Amino acid sequence: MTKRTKVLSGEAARKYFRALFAADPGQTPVAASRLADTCVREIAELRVRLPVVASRTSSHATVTPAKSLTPPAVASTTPPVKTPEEPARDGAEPDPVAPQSAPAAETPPPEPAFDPFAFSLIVALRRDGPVALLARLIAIDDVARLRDIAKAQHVGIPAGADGVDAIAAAIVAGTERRVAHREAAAS
Amino acid sequence: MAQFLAVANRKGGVGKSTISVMLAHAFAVWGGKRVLLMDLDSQCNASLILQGGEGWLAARKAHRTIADYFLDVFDEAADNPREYLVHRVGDLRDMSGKAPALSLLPGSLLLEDAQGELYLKEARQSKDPELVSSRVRGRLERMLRRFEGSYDIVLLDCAPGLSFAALAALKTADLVLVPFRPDYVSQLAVDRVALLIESKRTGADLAEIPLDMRRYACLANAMRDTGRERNIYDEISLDHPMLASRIPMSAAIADAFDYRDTAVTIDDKYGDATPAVRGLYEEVASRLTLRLAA
Repeated sequence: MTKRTKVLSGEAARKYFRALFAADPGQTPVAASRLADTCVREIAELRVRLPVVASRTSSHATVTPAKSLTPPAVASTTPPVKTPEEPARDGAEPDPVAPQSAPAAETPPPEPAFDPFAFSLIVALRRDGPVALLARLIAIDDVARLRDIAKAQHVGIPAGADGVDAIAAAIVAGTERRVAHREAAAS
Repeated sequence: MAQFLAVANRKGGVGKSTISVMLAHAFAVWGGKRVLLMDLDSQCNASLILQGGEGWLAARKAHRTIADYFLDVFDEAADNPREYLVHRVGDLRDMSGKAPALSLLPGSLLLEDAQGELYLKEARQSKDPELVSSRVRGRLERMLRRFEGSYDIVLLDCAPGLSFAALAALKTADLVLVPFRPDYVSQLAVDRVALLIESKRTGADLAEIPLDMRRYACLANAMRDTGRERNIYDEISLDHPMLASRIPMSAAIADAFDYRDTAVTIDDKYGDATPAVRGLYEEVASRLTLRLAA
């Protein structure tokens, strides 16, 4: 089935980029605005699928409800994107006859960048308990991403920890220590 | 009768004075309320923002500061306590071009000394330190309430750390606003001041009070909305009531507290940050109304 597309440029392209990045829960408003500006500056014309994303509303606002500022943690549990340069994880070789780049209209939308702050380790630990946090971390199934989370949220990982299970367990233990530090400070 | 709103945090640099002034402006201009701001911080930043350096110096030279007020009233040497207030203070004008009904009891560099002196005066009556402290706090509470019949809103801009005046303010307040910066140390400071406000010794004791029954609400100030800041906000939200409003890191807000000799409108003063200030004002006003109704 042929998908309907539309060519955008100028103000329409600017509006499109702003809406696209603003709707990404992994981006701060500042980062979303900066990315949009860069795209507007570098890309003269683009072809997008209909309906155009610009009709969506932004997830960011100056004044937000107090419930939670952390966006849904979808990005953190999604496996990493396989780039054309990267061999497939299941060992399959890249298709040598595959085109170098697909036409713009057929290219799937880019996956949001991984956000190591997508959820707070401390909040997850205290709300759901250590077992649930461990399961959530193991589901991420990517050592580099787990290390990114630990680094971003100031949780230490012992030098010898290796592999998803060990690192996830170390993160849970480190998060428990952070909670203990906070409780001690308020005592 | 006035409603008392204290702005407090044991940590310095979280924006207590700027939030106090912001709300004083908002209640006076948008709310049309009679507002009194009592500067209980010996850094005197709220006074400097509202009076400029010269106005504040004039108050000091005339011995019309919060320290003078406490000492004179304590000794019953103040014939007319209203003389310690500065009226129509600040560099704002309302829609009609007039200065709003905003009064100030100016801060003093000597406030800590004055509180020490009050303690010594009271200690002549008793040798029990706890009793003396309690009496000093009680007398300060009465002095903070002295003007409640003349104003709709009394803002108490507290000093960081503990002082008799700060403790009296926390006791007097109908609502305590706890501004915080979304960082690690501020998070710990929120935990501590919450225990103080609710007169609890441990976090477990505090947790027994439902969030919607607490006397305080936390306000995220100078938010840059980074991932780390959002995480800290969420972590604080687990244990403390939060205002939905957040004050963003903003050049417009920083500029707003530069005292001007020529009065401007509140929209001109806060520029791009006006919607955030308005949002905060409306939320705090709503909370005060709810407390009054309760």
